[in-house]
Amino acid sequence: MTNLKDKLSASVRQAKAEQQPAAKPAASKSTAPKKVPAKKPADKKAVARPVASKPAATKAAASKPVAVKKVATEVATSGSALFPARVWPD
Amino acid sequence: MATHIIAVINQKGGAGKTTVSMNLAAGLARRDDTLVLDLDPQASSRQWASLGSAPFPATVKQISGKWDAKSLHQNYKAYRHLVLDCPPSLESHASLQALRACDVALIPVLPSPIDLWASLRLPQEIEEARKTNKRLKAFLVLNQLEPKSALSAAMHDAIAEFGIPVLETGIRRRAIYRSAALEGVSVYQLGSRGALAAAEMDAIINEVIGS
Repeated sequence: MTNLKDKLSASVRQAKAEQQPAAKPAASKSTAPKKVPAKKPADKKAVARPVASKPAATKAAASKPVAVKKVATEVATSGSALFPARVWPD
Repeated sequence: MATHIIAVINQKGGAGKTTVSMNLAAGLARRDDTLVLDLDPQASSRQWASLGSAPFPATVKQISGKWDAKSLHQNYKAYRHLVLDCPPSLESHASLQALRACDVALIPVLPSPIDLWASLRLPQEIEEARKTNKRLKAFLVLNQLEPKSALSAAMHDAIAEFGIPVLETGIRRRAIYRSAALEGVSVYQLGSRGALAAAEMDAIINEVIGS
């Protein structure tokens, strides 16, 4: 019961906090999206270098970031080959 | 004596504005001449009053177009109580003018987190309205309470986050409120079937008028 009360109160506080900056300055809106794309490319570059250098050193370490990219392409290309076999096994 | 205006307002639809407006007005009409002004284009109050075989205890009218607090007081000074059934929008002319014109803003809120989140803009709007309407008092009223529901019981604490006083009287979830709408009457006209609901409305009136 206390937990529910706390949860409900916390959710109201959170919704309130989210509404306040959204309602006020337009400038704050522009800073929020800026942060995300601005950081991501910078992070990607920073991350990409060690990741790119790692495959040369160890295959296991390189498989993690590369695997994310492969999944995106495999879904589109290998659907016809894998799909019937998995859905209708003998 | 000046007309006492109660605006029943919430930007969230389905919070019970019309149900509260109509039954509150019926209760007020037992004391003095009372008018319900339906400000909602959906015209639910007007439709409610038109369904009854007997006349509704309070007069119900619909107004639209441009009006302000001054014209409201001038046009309806014959009534002691004016209940404004507001549309579910704070952007509308009617809602903004209602907050500027009323003595009391009564805000029905359902015991649901979604309804709470959707009503969070109201305190700001009330503060804004107080710049021009110094006498404005606002109260939250919990609607459709279910006594055995943990969520209903948890509402009192959560609602304190609004910074608006909550009426001690809560409105319980009762089928009789819906029956009253269907029959085009108030809960006061339903005899013993509506007695508990009528008692709730009387308690709200005492809190609001006595405040």
